Amino acid sequence: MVKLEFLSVSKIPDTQTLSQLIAERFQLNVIQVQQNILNRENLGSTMIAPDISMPHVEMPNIIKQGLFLITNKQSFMLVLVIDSNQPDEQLIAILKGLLVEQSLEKLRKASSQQDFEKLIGEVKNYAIG
Amino acid sequence: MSNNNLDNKILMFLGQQVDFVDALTISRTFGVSKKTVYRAINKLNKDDMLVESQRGRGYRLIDNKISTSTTEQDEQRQIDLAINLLHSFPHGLNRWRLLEKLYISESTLHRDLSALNEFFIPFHISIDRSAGNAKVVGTEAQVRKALNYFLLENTVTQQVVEGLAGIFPDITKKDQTFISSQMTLIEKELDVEILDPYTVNIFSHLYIMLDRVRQHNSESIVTTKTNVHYDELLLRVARQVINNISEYTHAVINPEEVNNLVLYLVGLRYDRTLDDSQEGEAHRLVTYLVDELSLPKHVNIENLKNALIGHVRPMIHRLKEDMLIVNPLLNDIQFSYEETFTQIKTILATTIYNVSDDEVGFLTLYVVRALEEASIRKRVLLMCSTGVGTAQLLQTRVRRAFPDFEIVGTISSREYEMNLKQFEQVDLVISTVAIHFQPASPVIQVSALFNEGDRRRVEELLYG
Repeated sequence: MVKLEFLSVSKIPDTQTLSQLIAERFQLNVIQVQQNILNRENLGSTMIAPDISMPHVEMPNIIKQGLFLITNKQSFMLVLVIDSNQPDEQLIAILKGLLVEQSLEKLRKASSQQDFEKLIGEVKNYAIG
Repeated sequence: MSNNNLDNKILMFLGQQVDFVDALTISRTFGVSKKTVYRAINKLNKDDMLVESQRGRGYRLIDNKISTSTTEQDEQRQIDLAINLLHSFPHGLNRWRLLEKLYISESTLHRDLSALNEFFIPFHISIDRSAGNAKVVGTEAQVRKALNYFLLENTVTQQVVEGLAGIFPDITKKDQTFISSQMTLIEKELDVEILDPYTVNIFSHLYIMLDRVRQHNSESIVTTKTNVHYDELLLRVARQVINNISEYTHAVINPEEVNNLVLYLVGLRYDRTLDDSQEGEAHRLVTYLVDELSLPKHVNIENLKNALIGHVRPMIHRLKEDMLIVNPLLNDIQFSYEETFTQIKTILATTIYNVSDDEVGFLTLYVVRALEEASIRKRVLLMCSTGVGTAQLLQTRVRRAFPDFEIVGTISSREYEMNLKQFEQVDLVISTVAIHFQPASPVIQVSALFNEGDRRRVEELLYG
């Protein structure tokens, strides 16, 4: 079961605040989350569009895997929470459908939890060759 | 397979063709050598002309009309005759002697001499048939050029050019060694490498000079281009070689031979500009040619231009000096790369240069090579930390930028590290994450946005 979270903000959070938000919603250790996010950023930028970044939280033994969309209407953070040893297959399928230009366009229009869930429902079945 | 069978099979094969078929194709079809093909065709034509042949095009079954075009055998005989005549310049040969020597009839000789007159036109020489003689009319320089050309043609039609000794079967070992030593001297002094086909040209020039010096057959060559400035180095080397030849043959050599040799040195393929001309002109011609060719994306234009200039620079010299070169591969090139050959020929026809098919053949090889290098589909692997995150996005973006790529898949860096051996055949790994292990293929790190800068870096890495 993939967890989907949505948050509308006035200002895009810094890494520390972001880690706290993620830790709360996904029941993870905040220090570990922060470390993880920073490590991944060090390996390479997670910008997937000029206005969309994709912070990764990739650790073993994550109980709730999913996506967390944070937006201030101009910029977007699509946080990926995924188990490094046993990535959720449904989540992978969602990503395959979501990480294409047309879907990202729709993502920008999501302004509520409902919108986000609806979008994910649509892309879940969109298979890419 | 008995020859009889082969003759008939070739006849039937030709019967199925609409247009000319060249010897190479026939030889491949029946798994025999080209020489066997020639013999078979000659046999077929012995009593009745069944197969017509045209140089550069090959063979075709003749309609019911009596053919007036020449067979391969005729041509060979005519080339032999040309060489004999040119060798005898300026004295000429007695016609009866020719008939005896070549075992032909009067009418055949008459026909051959007419054919030769046609052959000789590009060299600005002709044949005077009076008083029982056949004599070449022209200047020493023109005759020398013609002789050079026919000497090479002789071998090209008779046998594959394998080693310089194959071209000059009468050459003594001593002469061969001497001429080779002079070519080595030229290479060392000018710090160049004499590459094919220029090896043949210079070798044959020196061989002919040796031959004619010994026969005291050379008339004085009046140098027409006295106002052209040649590099002092080239003149010095040419003088050196001529002096060596003089000592070797114990003969006095006309000092104008130095200028003759310089023309060949200038015409060498080399990377450094040794003289003060042609640089801009060669660049302009190459740029024009490449622009007009409209080559597909990903062809390395810079590399191609550099390679072409290496040929075009001396080519322009040759064109201005009326020097013809022989391309032993011309038939094969025209057959295998017909489209490119024709394209280049058409483009060059719009310029002021009168470029022979032999030269176009060489240019074709460069272009074809560039095309083939660019068309090999690159196998690309996309990588990120999860294998599905940013790598996923890369897929569409990379595909859009490089539609020719074969995207093998997306993978996480961990999975890649665990299975290196599996991915040895990959040409490039495009990754959004840095790696800290030794990869099996080149890895380039890009942003998931795959912007113009990333695209250019990938292109440079793969295509140079």
